[in-house]
Amino acid sequence: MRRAQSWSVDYAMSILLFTIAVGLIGGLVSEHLQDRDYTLLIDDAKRLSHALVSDGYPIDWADDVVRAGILYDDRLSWRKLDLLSRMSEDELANALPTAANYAFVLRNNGSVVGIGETCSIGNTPFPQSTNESLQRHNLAYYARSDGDQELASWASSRNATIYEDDELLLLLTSAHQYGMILFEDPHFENELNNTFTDSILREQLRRTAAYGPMLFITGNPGTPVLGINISGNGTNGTILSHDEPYFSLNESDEINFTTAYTISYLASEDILLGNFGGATRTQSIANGAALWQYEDAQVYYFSSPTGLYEGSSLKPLLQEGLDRALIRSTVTCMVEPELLDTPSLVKIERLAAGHGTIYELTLYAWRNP
Amino acid sequence: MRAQAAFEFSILVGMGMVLMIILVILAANMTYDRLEKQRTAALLELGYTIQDELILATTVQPGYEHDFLLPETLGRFNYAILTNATSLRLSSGAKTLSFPIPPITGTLTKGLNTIRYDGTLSVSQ
Repeated sequence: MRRAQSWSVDYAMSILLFTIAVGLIGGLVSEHLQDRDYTLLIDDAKRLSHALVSDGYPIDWADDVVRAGILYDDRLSWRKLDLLSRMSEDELANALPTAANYAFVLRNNGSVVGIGETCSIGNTPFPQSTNESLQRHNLAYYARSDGDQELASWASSRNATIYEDDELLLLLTSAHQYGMILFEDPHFENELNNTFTDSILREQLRRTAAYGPMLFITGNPGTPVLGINISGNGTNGTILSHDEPYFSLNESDEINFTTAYTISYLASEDILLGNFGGATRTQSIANGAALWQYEDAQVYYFSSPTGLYEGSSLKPLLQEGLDRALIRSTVTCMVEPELLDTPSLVKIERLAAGHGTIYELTLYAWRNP
Repeated sequence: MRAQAAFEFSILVGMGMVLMIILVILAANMTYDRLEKQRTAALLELGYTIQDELILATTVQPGYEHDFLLPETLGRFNYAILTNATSLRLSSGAKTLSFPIPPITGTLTKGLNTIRYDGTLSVSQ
């Protein structure tokens, strides 16, 4: 009896010790694994932040995106942000180096900035509550006092900063402030003189395009600029396909450029050509439209303003398209990502300049439990 | 009494065995999951590092040349590497991951690789 009692006590003690040992080891192992997970998450977030706040590859995203950096020439690219916001989950997974859940927001003066119709971008975007409100790009308008000014009143009503004649260089050196620049019948060559040479003009226009605004040109640029040549030969072409969001360019439409101002240098710049308003004309004042990318800018070209506005039906179409393009976002965002219910969360803040403003990019990365 | 003690002993030993088996199974599952996570993390780390190397090479001036070493194993995991012009595939165990890369000529292999950029990107051993 005494021996049996002794055995029971021994067993009870050994089981207790065993349980404590298992519990201690399990706890230590679990803690170790969690720390390792968190370290990996931090590394992931750093790598992701580094990739996002870079130019990425290819720099202009013209081909398949290998690395989705949202800068262009070290400045925030709204064109890339817009493309990123429309990427599928698979495209995002291929383009950004992380296996973690992530989302990022842009803030300006503490408020979350909308990108198109969304407030955060990532493979797990945040729930968002929004107010409908239009946020517009900053607009600049340039015309010559002796040229067409058909769009001047439209530009004024959109709070454009107006530039005229010899203020061209001032506009180009201030171009980083604007999300859209509208040149109406600009005849750039008229401003060329000894201090403002052709090469300076070209370089200033290239830098302007690198800032990433949408550039609209109507009428006669007057000199080879913006990655294209304007020649005096007429040309025709057919639209094969397009995804132009602002203007009505229809598949299989025929283009007919004016014999005075013709776009050439096409395929290598991925130029999209087409009629504006769907009209097909063959006379010398035909409606021609072209869209191409130069540096980080989307460049829209409409041929003769006289042709565009003749008959008055096309001018409202052009203005409607410009209005659509001018909208940067349709939402005011209210997201509260700090409320994420997750045991491990990494937050990294970076700064990026774009269109005359400093934006705070806040990246959140986490793994679900 | 002796029979009762033997019976109790058997019950206790049986319970201990069952507990041990459960613990071993749980530990094996946890270890397997952990190893697979480590395998995936190691593949991702290597894939992203190679992506970074190739992207960096395209951002510098033509004439750039850089040697880098691809390990024979990823820690305790063996792996295979396969490249074509625009993608990189890394596989280990049953796991295969694909990474887009800038267009290259040549293939990446384990050991010493040399990246050259002369307007186009090439890799040689």
